Amino acid sequence: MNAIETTKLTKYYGKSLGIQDVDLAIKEGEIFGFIGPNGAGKSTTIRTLLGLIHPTGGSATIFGKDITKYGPAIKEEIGYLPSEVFYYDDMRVIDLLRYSGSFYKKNPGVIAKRIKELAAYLDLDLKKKIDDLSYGNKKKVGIIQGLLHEPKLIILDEPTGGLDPLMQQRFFDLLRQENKKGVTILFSSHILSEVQKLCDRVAIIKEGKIIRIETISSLVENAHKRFKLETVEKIDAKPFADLKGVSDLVITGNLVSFLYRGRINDVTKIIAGLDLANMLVEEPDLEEIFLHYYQKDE
Amino acid sequence: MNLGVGVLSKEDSGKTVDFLLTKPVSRAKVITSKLAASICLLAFTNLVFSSVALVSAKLISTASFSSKTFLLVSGTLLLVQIIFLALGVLLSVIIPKIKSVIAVTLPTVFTFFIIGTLGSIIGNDSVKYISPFKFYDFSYIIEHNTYEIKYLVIEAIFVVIAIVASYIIYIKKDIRAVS
Repeated sequence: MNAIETTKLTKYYGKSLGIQDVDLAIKEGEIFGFIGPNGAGKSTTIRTLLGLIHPTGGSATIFGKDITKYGPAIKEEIGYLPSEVFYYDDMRVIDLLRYSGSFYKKNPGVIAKRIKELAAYLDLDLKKKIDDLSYGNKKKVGIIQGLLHEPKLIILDEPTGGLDPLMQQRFFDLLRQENKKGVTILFSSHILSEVQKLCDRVAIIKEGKIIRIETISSLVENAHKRFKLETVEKIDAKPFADLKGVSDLVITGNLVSFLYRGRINDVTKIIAGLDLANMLVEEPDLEEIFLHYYQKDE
Repeated sequence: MNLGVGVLSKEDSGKTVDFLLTKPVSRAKVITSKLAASICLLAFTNLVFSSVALVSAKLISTASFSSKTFLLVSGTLLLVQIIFLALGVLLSVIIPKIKSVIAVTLPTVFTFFIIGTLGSIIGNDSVKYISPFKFYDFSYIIEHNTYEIKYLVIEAIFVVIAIVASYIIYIKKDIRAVS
């Protein structure tokens, strides 16, 4: 069954468009990435799935249940980690986490144990007051709050801001551990390197519409490779300029640089005939690919 | 009224509303719990206040008086508070961003008070239906040993409408992201 399924999900804020005709089918056990710039509609989609805002059109189900009808029941199995965490300042961490746990039907003993485990792993003092915590530590509270009831679906909205690199690693390890148990993860982020590391598939959203859904591996494979050549003598650019699949060709003295997409043998044939001093072939990272899709329409 | 306005809007101004509403609890249940807590608080403080006042009065008073009438009079406090509680909750779901609860409460309560007072000074009787402060006239209560039924009805109707409207509005509204 699909963990999350949306059908033409649409949200208008008055006259301005939030998201339109969003179709997603996120399989159970997947780690699904959601990327797009600010204002593209990532948060709108997530907030609609969580019932914080009501859709203008379309529908969505989580674990087969309609989100408008079965809100509270669905949320028993969702852990939500928002980008900005705000809690009741006067409470101590442990009190807040216990309060959070009290909403769920799971066994309180199990929840208490999980809180202790997570706090130890993330190095968080449970006795401190929320008010006294640094931003990074407040984020840790957010992480524990989202995981303590062992949800089957974890929704993350830009969660790693504020965490130091060690904690980020631990956090990702936590997510991978949960995923091994079969937990589905929806990961919305700006930070494309993280999405690339963690996710199986990714959806790119722009101006409220999904423009592409693909596996990370095929996105990277089908993308352009960057070639940087340093020749011994100045060369004639024509062979490269004529080759189909070459773009962004730049020749400065002995340096040749271009993007290539197509059969590798076609370009290596040309390169083999040259007297090279140096050569570099780079695969673009998700950031370049993203920018490519992004700027394509502009 | 502070209670009514604050109880829902504090989640919003403190930005904890995302935390609360993504938990497995329906919005109706949130309102119900908070209303119940508010009413308990009001009932309890009134109970304490009335009992202490009654006991003190009995001890100090030289003339005799009926406890029932006394309690009726001090009960008007709770009745007026309930009206403002309902009004407060309604305002809190209608007004989008309440940064200061007192900025909503003070002008509102004050206005009703002024309307009531001015009305009596001028001799305008219709204010008695508008200002909650004028619903329960002490002299009437002392004389008849009961409240005027028509005001109880007005109060009941207003409270029910305000509370039902609050539920409907709160359940249907969008919770926008904090910025």
